[in-house]
Amino acid sequence: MTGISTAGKPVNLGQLQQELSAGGLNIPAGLGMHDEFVYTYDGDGEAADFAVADQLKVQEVLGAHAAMRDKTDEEYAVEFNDANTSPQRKQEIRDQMNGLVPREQVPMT
Amino acid sequence: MADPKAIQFLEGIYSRVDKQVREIVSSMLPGVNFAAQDDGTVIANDHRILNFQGPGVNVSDDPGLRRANIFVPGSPVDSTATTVVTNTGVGMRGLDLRSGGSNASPPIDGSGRQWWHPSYVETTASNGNTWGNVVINPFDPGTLHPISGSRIIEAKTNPGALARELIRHPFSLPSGTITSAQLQIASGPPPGSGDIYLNGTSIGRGGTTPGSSWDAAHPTAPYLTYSISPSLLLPGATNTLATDVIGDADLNCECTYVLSVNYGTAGADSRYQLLSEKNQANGYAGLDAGTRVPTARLGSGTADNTTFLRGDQTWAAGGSGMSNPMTTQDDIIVGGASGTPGRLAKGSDSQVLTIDPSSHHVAWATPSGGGTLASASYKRTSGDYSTTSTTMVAVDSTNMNFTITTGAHRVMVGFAGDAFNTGSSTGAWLDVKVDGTFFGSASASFGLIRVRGGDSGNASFVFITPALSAGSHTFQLYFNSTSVSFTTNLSGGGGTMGGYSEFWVMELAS
Repeated sequence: MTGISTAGKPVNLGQLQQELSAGGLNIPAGLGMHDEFVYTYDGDGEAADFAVADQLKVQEVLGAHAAMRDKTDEEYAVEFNDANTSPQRKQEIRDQMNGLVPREQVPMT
Repeated sequence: MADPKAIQFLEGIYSRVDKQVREIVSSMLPGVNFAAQDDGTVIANDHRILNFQGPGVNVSDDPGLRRANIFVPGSPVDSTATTVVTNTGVGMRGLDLRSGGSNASPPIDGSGRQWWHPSYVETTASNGNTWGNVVINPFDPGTLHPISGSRIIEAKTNPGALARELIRHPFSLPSGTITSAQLQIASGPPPGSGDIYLNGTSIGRGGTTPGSSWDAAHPTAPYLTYSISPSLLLPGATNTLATDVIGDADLNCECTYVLSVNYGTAGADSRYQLLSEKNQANGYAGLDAGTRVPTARLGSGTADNTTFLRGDQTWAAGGSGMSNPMTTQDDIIVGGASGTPGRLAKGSDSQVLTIDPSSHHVAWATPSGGGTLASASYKRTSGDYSTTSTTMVAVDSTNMNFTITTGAHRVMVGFAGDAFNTGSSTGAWLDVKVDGTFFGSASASFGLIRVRGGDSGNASFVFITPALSAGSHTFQLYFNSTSVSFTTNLSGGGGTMGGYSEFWVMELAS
């Protein structure tokens, strides 16, 4: 199988790309993933293994990766309707749901 | 009231007188008998009935004209062949008679025959005069009469009052069948000319309308017309026309005549053909002893068991035919060089007869495409597809990458599923490579359809390629992301997006 296994761990591929870059490993061809494998691409756009020299770094970053995602509308609705939610928080929720500010990130499960 | 006995007595007398009268009249009536000849030979005599035989002979009674009509098939019919005898011809002989002289009476020859008889011997006439050529007056003021070409006969000398001139005109008629004849004649005015004789038979008298004359005032005196029975004329022999011309008031014996003799043509009855027409041009072919048309009547050349009759009526040898090159069941014949027939054995099961692209000749071959249309599909049911590549990359090189063999047809390509890019505004792209070339955009940064940014949405599409060449073709799904910081996801069932995605291709029939 091409790429490195995620061992069932949720992966936010864009977030992982940024984490690799922050760790000093630039992957200009981009990352791809399916069937719990993360890989890069060759010059023809086909799935390809990471360079051997990069594989250890990728595994390290992937191991520390905690995939995050945008909080969904449903999750915002539960919090907004909670009686303990303050008016100020509700205004923040409105702004995030309407795209005025970035949405909060929550762990992917 | 008459006495009955007297009446009975008178009736008895009447009956006896009637019987006597009938017997007397019957004894005076001649017997109405017939005689029949065959080409001049008497074959029947003293009969009362003529029996016409033969299936084509038709006899019908014509009581209105007191006659019986007999139609003999194949009898001659009228034609335009006509012989004209006029007084302008040579051979006319004339004899002047003078009133009160020794030559006042018509002559009789030594055998006692009258001058008008055909057999009359024209020697010295009994009255002492001799027959001479008839003088035709070229100076008469009358015009040509009765038809153009005939002139007026005049007496050789002025005989004086009541002069007469006898004219005998022997003439020949050609052989053939005479169907009708007509004599037109005008001769001296009243008291009128004498009789007109044709071959010794009187047919009437000459003469013109009383008061008419040939002079300057009456250049065309009327003439009489007689219909001549063909039986009076002798085809192929000498005939004699004779007439007695009486002088007119100016002491001239004037006469002119035209005898028109019409002939018929035999064999014009379309119901029958003559034996003489058998095997003749435009005739008919006779049958041989086997009731078949003789081969000699069908065409020229030799007719035997090796020759055939061609359309140009020629007996000719037939062709040798084609040698059969086939040896085995299901063989077929194909033309070789210059069309030489050759054997082509049957092909294998399901093969079709085609033109081999290498040899360019007929051959059996396994069809590529055609009967079954090619297709392929893959449905993703577990796990999304994701990428951060900003250039087009393969979604799934293993499963969403089809190779199918098609005919020279178009192919329908489709994708069904959700997709989104984590970038909040702009989206990424989906595209398909057909035989290594992106169908949507040649740029690796763009594609066929745009993927929604920020949230998932329907990314389904379908398109039809142009007609592809017959053979193998590849179809592969590609996608990209707007930035390496964002991720493009395709729904794959059981993944974070939920739902499924399916990529498929289908060859069309044309």
